Amino acid sequence: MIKNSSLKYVFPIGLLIAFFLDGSISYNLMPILYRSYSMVPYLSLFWLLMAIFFAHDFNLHVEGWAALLGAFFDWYYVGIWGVFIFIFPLVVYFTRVLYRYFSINFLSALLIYLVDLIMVLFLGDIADRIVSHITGVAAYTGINFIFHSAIPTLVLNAVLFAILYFPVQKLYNYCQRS
Amino acid sequence: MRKFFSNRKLVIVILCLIVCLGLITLSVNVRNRRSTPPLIQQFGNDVVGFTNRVVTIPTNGVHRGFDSIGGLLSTYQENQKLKKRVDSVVSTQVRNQALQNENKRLKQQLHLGHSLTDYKSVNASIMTRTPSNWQNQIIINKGESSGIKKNMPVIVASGLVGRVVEVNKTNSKVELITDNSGSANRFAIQIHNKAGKDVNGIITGYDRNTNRIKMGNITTKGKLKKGDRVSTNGLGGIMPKGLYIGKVTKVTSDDYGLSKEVSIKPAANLNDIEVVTVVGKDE
Repeated sequence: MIKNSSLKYVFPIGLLIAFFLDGSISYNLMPILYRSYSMVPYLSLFWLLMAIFFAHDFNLHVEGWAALLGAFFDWYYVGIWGVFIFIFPLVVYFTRVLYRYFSINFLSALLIYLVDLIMVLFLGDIADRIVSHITGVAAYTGINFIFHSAIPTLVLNAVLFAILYFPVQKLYNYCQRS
Repeated sequence: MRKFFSNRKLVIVILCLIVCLGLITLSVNVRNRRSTPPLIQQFGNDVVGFTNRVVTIPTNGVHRGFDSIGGLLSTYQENQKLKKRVDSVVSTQVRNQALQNENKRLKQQLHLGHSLTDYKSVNASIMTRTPSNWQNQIIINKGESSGIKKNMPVIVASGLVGRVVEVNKTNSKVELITDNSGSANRFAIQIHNKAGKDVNGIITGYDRNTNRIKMGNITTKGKLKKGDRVSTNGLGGIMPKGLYIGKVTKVTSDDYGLSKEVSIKPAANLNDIEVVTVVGKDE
């Protein structure tokens, strides 16, 4: 147990940056990411999962941070309460359960990340249906959702994962050593 | 013991589900009925929005840098094209000025205060976009303190892009017309056809695959042709008259052959928005 790890500061700051980057990437790459399909970056979720994978000997209360992140998502981005505030902690908890059955390397981490993303997308879609039901508007049909948002989003995030996995792993390890 | 724990987990999950559903229902209703979100949410959004600027300024700066390089490369062709249009623009401007003055004088003679075409405007730049599959929302850097109100239409230079759905003190959320939710679609619009007659209707949806706005609920009879211009008609709410939307590309009759459905090509590029103008009726 390392008491004064710099991770204590690096983790929340990184989470904050990842949270804002999600929105900024979405906005600045709008002509590429949102066409007839939509690709949504989930860097903040990626950051949370990396904390579970690599910050083993330091309790960061990732579930708590996930709930806080979800609340920010709901208020600031979505404008409707009660969607991500439950989805994010649930996914983090689920990851912690899965994590016990795998030894973490690039492939298994990618696999867990993709399964988590499918959960987020699926639960988000259900939330969308509930919202549409309340406002009385028909939501997308299932097939449309899979081809137009789920698969493109998974592809984008797999690419981001491949780019960021090793640098972020190095960062976490470095912070725990110092 | 094991059973007890799994039961407890089940109870927690069900409790969370109920709270979640309750929160969603509550907040959707608040969003639909009230002009501003609850105070605590407003405060939170203002704080987050303030912090967001730290990340937004460099990333948007890089974006604009790339845009200007792209602009530089196509300067010559654009210059040639634009030169041809300058003369006509100047003459239109002069004519506009004359018409505006005449309009003002006539209104004074008629003792007419403000009509549907008068509006005030607030310029705003975009901070970020909602990273979501099911919402097309952008967040702009002006809010209640700059005079923005809920449901105000939002335009770019070339045409209408959406409407304000949530107002905080220093930032607000704009739902683009590409969003398929209920409130995004209820714009009252009209088509000016070649015969000089106006045909009224409502935006009923957006087709993502073809990038076309769909217009339905058409009440007036009148011949519509490809290329007819579409704008807002100023009916309903705080929407002023005469905000340009786009051009008609296709006119079809609906599934039962009773009413028409019109496809409209939006004038604004809805995927590349940098600066927007929020407009409201001058009251």
